Amino acid sequence: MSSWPLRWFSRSVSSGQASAQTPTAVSDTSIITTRGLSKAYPTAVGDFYALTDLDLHLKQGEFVGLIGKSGAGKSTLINMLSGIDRPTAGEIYVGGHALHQMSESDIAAWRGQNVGVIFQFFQLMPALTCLQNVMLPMDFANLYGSEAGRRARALELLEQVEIAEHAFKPPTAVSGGQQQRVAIARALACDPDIILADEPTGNLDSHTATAVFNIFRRLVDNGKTIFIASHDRDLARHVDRTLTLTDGHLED
Amino acid sequence: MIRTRWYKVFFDLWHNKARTLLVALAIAVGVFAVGFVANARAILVRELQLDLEKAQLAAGTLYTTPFTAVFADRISAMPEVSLAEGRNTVRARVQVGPDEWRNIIFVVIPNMETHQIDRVTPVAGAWPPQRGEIILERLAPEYVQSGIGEELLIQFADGTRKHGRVTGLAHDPQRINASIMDIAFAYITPDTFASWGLGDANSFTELRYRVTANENDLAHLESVADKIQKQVEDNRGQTFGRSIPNPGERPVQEIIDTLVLMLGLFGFIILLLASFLVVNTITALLTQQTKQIGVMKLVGGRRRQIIGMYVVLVLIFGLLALAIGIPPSIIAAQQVIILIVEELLNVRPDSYAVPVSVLLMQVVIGLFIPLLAASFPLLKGINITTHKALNDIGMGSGGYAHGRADRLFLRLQRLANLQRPLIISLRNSIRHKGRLFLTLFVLVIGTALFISVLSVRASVDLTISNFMRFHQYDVLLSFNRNYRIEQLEREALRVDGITAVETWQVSSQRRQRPNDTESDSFQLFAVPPDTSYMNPALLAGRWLTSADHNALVVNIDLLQAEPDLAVGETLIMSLNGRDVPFEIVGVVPTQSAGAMAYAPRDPYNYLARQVGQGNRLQIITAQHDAAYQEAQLGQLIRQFEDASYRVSNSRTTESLQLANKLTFDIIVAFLVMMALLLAIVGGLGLTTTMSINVLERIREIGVLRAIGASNESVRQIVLAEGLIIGALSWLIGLFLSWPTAVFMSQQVGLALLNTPLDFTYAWSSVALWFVLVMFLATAASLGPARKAVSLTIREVLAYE
Repeated sequence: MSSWPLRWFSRSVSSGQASAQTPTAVSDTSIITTRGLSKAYPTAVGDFYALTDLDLHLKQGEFVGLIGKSGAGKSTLINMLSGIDRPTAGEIYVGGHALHQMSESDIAAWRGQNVGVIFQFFQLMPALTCLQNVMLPMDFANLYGSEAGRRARALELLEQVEIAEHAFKPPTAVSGGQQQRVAIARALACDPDIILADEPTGNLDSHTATAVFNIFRRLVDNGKTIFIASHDRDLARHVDRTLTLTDGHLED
Repeated sequence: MIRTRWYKVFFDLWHNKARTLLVALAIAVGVFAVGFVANARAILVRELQLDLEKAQLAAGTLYTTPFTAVFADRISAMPEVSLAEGRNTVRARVQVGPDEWRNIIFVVIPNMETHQIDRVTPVAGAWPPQRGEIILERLAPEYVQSGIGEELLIQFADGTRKHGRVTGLAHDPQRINASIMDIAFAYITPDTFASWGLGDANSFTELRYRVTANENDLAHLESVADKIQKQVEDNRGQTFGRSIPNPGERPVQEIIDTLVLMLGLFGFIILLLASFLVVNTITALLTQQTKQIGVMKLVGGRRRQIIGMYVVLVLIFGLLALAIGIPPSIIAAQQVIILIVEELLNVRPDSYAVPVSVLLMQVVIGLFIPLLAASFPLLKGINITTHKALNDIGMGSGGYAHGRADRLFLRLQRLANLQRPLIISLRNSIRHKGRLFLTLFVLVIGTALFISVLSVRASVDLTISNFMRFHQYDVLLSFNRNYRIEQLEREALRVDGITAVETWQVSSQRRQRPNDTESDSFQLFAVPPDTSYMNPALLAGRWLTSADHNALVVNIDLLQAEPDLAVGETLIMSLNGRDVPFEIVGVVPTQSAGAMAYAPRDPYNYLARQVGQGNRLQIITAQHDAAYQEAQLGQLIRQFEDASYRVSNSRTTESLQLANKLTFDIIVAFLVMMALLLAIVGGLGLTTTMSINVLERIREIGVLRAIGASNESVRQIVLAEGLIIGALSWLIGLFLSWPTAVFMSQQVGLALLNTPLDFTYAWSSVALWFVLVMFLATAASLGPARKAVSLTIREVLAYE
């Protein structure tokens, strides 16, 4: 695999743009910005703050790693940026959208087209084949014309992550590394500008992990913004910039 | 090409076949119950109406001195009367064994082919009958043990015997199964009537008529009867009585009304319970899908898109349920009509077609109720945040010891020093109180109704047994005229095996009302006041004493017919042309045979100028089983006939009890059928609850196993949870079962007897249901328990 074709990222929108939200202007050129972001979880002994007054700025095309120990708040931050979870306080702007002001349904539609999310445990649909897992976001977003168009694109994405030969198998029939490749292809399905990954290699062996990082690198080279959270300090070797999260506070 | 999201829907359906079947069954139970009930009801009501319309029932009948067809035509010409026809009826007995005779009534119908009132239509064999030929009512052959082509030996009240050949069967919608009525109906021509020496072929004693208008207005019917009676009297005739049935009602209307009521009531209850079952099942489904909903939201699935997927899923469940539920609902309804309504109640449907409206109702129920049931859990499932959905790890919601029930269990645990696995089962069963409530609701209602139905059955038995207190003898013989008491009793005691006899005087009487009108006729039994041949329960007042003269005990039917009467009031009867007052001293329950009264025999016989005479023998035999009674009856009849006595009617108490039981058995059979349906709904409900509970805690079970719990321990925990829910429902259901059993017994009694059943609570059914519910709980828990231990610990802990 020598180069990544640009058509990967040229979205052929046929109908149905997802979000009804009007992008909210932000003052800087960041693609991801948080201001005073806090997240508290209620516990029996009072609120536990996973994130405290956190300010973050990521620029378009950056490959940024977030390192922190278990419980530091990494997953919470990824969840906030992907709109999976809601902040207790503060503002989140991603691609010009004020997530903290959007409804759950609008966020889902927005996320489907603008953010690809990758998890440690893949989160693939057991009911669908690998190919169908990649097609599903396009189906929800009503992108790439017909099912035939979506299928062609999904196959192309699976080829790019070198898993096309397993396209018609259910996720449970392939290895963890292969499942993660399917998850990456799914994250790219609607050609999002931003990829958020939470411990994407945490469940993989070192060889497969390196292959996954190579894929991320190529995506960044083609203009994607990637933000990866990991407890592994070795992450710094693969990314352009590293942030450290300690007890909900960010350190550059 | 089908869209990707629908692949997921079809996968969910196909790859979870057991779950798909369970959900579809849950919905199908409701579809079946409603369809069965509504179809049976619709066919019954429709065909009953058609049957009655075809029968052209008489609006009234006058019993008169003989008249001719010419007079009937004159009555037909009256402006209020659309048609009048003459009939004769003759009571007789037909031989069914060497010493066994059964009751039969011959209806003499002129112009058999063209008669227009109380129509009897041919069903099989020859039609119309010729001279000497008999047409049997189609439900009579079994009772008279003869069919087409066979000859009957008939004995009439005067002792004469005739032979007649059965040449055909006919349908008379006014007659229910002869075995229930203990009397068969047969139809002959006036020629046969005359050839048997029963009377003139051209004269009749029953004037049956239909009216031109207001046929449902009882007051109008009475006034028409008055006018016809006047015509009879103007024609120098005499009227002995009249019969004006309630408009549009059949003799078995009470049974039909009760059936229709019960069908409606149970249909509603089962639908309600099945709806709860559907709520639980759909909740189970969505619980299992929580994480997948989260993933779909993660990859851009919008709320309406995801809802759309599950709506389609639920609609497919509904369609499957319709496919499962509709055909048996039609077949079951038709079978019920055939077995019970057609064969016992003698409704003869033209068609078993089910109405489109019922099918539509089933479609709406099959599709709409599941959607309605799914709406709450679906919205709850969809509204869960993506974060929460993705982090659904099957560890339950935790948080014990907050509610009152939790604290109660904690206290119980400390007090009873319970074993740890049992504590887990106890806590698990109350973790989802909403779900527990729905499951318990279904099972509690099932428990209450099951016990109630069996209590109704026990009450029926008690009522019949109490009713049989009126018949503290083995054999009854009626004679067509009075004989001296000593003669009758001496003759009876000559038969071996007869241990005691008592003679009564039975006659038909009417009340002479203060406004110079007469009541309908009632049966008057003149009995020795100290009789031991009947022992009725008293509803009011007292029984007769030897000091009584003009005293009367009446039954509740007579008080209902003459509501101004009560204990202490006077009832006047005309005896030998003299108005004689009788004081009502007591009230006894109904005997399901119309209005009756009891007077002291000897004073009554004195007033009626028939001292020392009687016309009915109550006989006690050495043994009391049905076979012995029948054998003794045969010997008695031979004995009396050899001595030239004229026996007009005979009966054993066992046959009477059987006939009564048959009527109630129809209703009880329905109730038991409904109770079984309820048990199925309850079992399905518990199965789904146990499945959800295990599914939700699959990871927790993995943790238990990881820390050393054996498969057996896990299985026991799940099983104990099912048994706890079953036992709890049984306990609560018990409290509810008493009032529901009382209510149902009252309703069944009121519908069939105009008085509540004598209530008894079926304690045996309490134990029976406990065994059944424990079995259901075990069966419902075994599948989920097996599932819980079938996955490896690694699989369970990584369970998605």
